[in-house]
Amino acid sequence: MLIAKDVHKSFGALTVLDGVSLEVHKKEVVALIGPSGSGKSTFLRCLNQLEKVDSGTIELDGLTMCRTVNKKAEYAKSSELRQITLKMGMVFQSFNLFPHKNVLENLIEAPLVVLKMPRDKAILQARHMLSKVGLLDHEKHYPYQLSGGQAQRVAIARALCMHPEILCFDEPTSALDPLLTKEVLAVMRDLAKEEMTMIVVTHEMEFAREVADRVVFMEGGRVIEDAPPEELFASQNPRTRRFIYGETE
Amino acid sequence: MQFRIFTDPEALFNLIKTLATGIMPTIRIFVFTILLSIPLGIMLAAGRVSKYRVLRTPISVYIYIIRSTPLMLQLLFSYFLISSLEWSPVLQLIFGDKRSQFPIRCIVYMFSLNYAAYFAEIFRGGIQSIHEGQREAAKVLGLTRVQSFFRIQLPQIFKTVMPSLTNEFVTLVKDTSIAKVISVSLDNRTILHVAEKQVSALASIEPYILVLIFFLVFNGVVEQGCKLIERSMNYYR
Repeated sequence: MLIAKDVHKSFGALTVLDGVSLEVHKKEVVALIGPSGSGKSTFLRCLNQLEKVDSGTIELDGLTMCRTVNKKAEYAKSSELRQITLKMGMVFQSFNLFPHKNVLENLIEAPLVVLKMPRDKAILQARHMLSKVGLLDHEKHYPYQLSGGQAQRVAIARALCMHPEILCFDEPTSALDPLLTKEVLAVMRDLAKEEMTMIVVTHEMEFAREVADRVVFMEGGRVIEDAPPEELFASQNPRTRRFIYGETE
Repeated sequence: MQFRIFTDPEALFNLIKTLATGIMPTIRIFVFTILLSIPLGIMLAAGRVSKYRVLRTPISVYIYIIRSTPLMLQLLFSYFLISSLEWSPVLQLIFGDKRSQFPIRCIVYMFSLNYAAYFAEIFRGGIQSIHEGQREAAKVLGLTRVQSFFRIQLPQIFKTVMPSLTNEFVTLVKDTSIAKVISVSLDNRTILHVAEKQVSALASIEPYILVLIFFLVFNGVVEQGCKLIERSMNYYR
């Protein structure tokens, strides 16, 4: 479904992605783990067109976002890029809810404006998504009135309202305390059960082990290992072991 | 000092009636200047933070020139420059009839160009205060840049800049007095135009006292209005 091949990205002299390739199949949950600065968030942001790659190929559902021509990435025309945007959903570490809109308005904004959905249908759908994340009674709340966990669940519901084919999570629980982390991870578990295709950048090893179909370990802008969790967590690769278990060679 | 007029009810009534003819023209300059300068200021601010140097540089120069020179001088300069020109159809279209409409339009346009520069700087600060994540969230949800700006960023920007805008509005109320340096047609005379005539005709400064009171009331209303707008945006943080 999603294919990324040999993606390179640098910020000035700093190489952040040094040839990252990843394939994600439908209904798969892929966890991206690795130390800070390993490029996993940047990679996710490239998939969501929040950063432009320097070179590499990214394809989604047969649509090409970019490919390498003469060692440089050539992006598709904007109508095609937009189609890809609509197939991808993104949940941010800092939630990024719209503070001037209440929970319900946050959820119906994009369906109304982007999909031109009728208002009553958008509201109905928003309530359905809110009940999924357990916040049906919070639709009139403003983001500042929510806890971090609630805000993140609203952000997930907001992404779901656009019916993405792949939902990306960029360290969704890194700003949350352990208790709030739990409630967000519970929602993500439910989504996995419903066979949502997900790419999750996370430091939650337990979550990666239990929920992910595949765990990808990145370091220094490269994919070091890409394996089912039981294999990856039993890896003999010293770099992987050092990251997961804090072992020194 | 003697209050000859204030102690004579009939003279006072006549004076107030005469000065009152300058109230609407003064308010008109204020309102039209705001209507023109706010959108222009927002556009300049957007250009000022654009990634394109061809937009950024001229706008910076423009803002520098406008903010570094006196409004009264800008007004006099543009007025005499334009009135020295041959009255072409283009000028007719922009400024209307040279005798009746041009002076007041010149005032409103120059005021707008001037205030737009200040508003541009205020809105630039507002734009930069919006967290990048807001723009990113709008983008991944599929909103276009224009939708994202008007629906997500601008409402938040207004909330941030409202106190600074209030400041400019209050200053603009007072700056309407600068319009006095230009002679305008009879029905466009500001309260100060009218007052000056009365001061010399009556040989008394009492008209100025009434003008002072007018500005106090005008700005009182403006400040209260701004407070209401600020309060209406207090429902979120």
